[in-house]
Amino acid sequence: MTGGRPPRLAERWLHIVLPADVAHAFCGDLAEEYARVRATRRWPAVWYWWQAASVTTRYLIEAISLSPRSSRSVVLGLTQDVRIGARSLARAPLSSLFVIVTLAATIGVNTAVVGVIDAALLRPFPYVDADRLVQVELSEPQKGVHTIEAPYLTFLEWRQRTRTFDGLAAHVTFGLSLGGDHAPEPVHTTFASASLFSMLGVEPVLGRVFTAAEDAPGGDTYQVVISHSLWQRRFGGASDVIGRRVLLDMEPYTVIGVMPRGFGFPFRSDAWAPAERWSYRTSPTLRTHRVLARLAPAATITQARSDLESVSLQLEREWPRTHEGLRATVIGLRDAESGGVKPYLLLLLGAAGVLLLIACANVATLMTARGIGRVPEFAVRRALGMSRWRMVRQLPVENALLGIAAGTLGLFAAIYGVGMLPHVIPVDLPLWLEVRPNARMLFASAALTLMTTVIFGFAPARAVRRSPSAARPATMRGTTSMRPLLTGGQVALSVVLLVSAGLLVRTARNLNEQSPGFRAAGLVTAHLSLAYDSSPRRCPFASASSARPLRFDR
Amino acid sequence: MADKEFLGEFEQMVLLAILRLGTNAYGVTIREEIEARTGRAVSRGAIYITLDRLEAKGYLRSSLAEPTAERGGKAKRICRVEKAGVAALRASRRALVSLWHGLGPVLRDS
Repeated sequence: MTGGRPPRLAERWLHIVLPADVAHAFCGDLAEEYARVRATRRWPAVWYWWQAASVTTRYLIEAISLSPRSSRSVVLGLTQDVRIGARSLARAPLSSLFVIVTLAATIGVNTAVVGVIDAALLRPFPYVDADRLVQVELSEPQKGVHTIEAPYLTFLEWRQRTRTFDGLAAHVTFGLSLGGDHAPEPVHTTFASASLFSMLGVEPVLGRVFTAAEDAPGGDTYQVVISHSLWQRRFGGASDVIGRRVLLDMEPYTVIGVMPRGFGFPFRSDAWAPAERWSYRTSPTLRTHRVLARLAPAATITQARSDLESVSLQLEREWPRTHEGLRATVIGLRDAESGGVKPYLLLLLGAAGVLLLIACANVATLMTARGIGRVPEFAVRRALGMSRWRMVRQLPVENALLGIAAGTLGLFAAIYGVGMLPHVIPVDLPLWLEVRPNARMLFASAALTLMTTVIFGFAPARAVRRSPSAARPATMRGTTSMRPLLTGGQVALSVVLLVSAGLLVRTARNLNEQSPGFRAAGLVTAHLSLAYDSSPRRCPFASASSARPLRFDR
Repeated sequence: MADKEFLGEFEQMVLLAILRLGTNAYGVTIREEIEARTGRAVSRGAIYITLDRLEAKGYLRSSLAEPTAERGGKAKRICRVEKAGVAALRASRRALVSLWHGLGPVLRDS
């Protein structure tokens, strides 16, 4: 959760580029306006970056216009190079467009993949001391069974007997029907231990969270803390929401608190009620609750594992019927949430990287051909007095123009496409994952642009650098030696990508074709959210559908 | 008269906006005042560069106010028009009025 703070990196950039007093006052002005922009625009950070870029450019132009003549002439020379480069690219619009689209597509894909990897593996969890948070899981080594959920009663024993944790909290999430003054709507409701909030280091923005006394047998468990989005959506952000009564699955709860914007633990919960409220529906063997724990300051994961191992043995001795062969184990929260997808995402990054290299090789071949075609033009310009240095830098300037255009287009494609990526890649990403454009993606895009510009620009620059002042067939010999290298590299990379893609598809197909243990052909599933109600007051449709499974008739 | 330097259009707008705003003239309010009065979009960079330029010419003076939390702990750069600035505004206005004089029939709004 970044709050209302402007992008730090952009602020730092302004402090580097602008005079100190101007940067100070300007950043203050932008910070003041940023709060307003956040309320009215979709991507306030983009607005901020735009302002930073715009003022930097203006100051740069001002500095040039005030600078001595020699440095001004360098800048004017570069401006002329850019103009000539743009004209030359416009003369061959199709090939320029091909280069820009090819590079933009691959830069976009790579940037989007970086965005997903950032969200899944790099971005820290928005909780205090998140690397001390662990998940306690249950396994039966003899049967080869492992579950991330545990029975609520077992959790209570863990909480009482372990010594290596600062706290343990159980939580289980259901889709409940929220009723009350308005039309009912399904809400993800998490029944959690009271210690959950303090363990995560998150405090409500309004009211309070439930206490340990309320989350205990005999406590007043009809308390609910709601999410910021539910507060806005359902109650219009009313400040007197505290104390209101709402119906969750027909049962009356009192709203006691509102959590900060963006908080939805474990992923997109809208309400939190005491775990004890739901405990009466559990059994000693039903594995329903996930268990979150915070390691004690001096404890390590290994110590926590042996602590839980000894507790598991105690439980097995005391209640062999329900705990025989059961062992508790600990895994870091980051690994628990996204460890499984790490190899797939890295594979995806590798594939995207190879794709980028192929695109670079393609573009390099095209640009070399273009460079060769322009040798006569350069010969004429040299004959008219253009320096060799000026000739050599002309192509990199053109490449940079293409690179910047492709990079910008790729970045926008990534910003719009990154949200879709989790739905199109063959990887089951964690449900909590929220992929959104950020500064890291901007950097990735800039770095990729620079890298591709250098890679695809190398061959054509070499071709022209070797050319003498007049167009001679010798030039062609010098440059054509690069072609087999480029083509060979391109073919090799394509083969690597094709083989990897083939293996990936085969693995995915094998996984899909694995027998689920029942005949899946012709079966469909349907999800129906109804209020929990054990009385015979169920609506006729629900009664009928639970009595007779739904089926499609041919 | 020959070496007299007249203010540019945007410089005049900035100085006039500062005069209108009194003691609350800083980057944000100056830009908003010009946009509200002229209906013209103004970039933040243009405002700051013009303020620097006018300050270098001695037409205005700026000082930093107390930092506030609303501004991320940063101070406002409060601007005040100097006597030389007012004189430059008067000279520019006089020059324009003199050029406008007698052109009423030609430039009258239809």
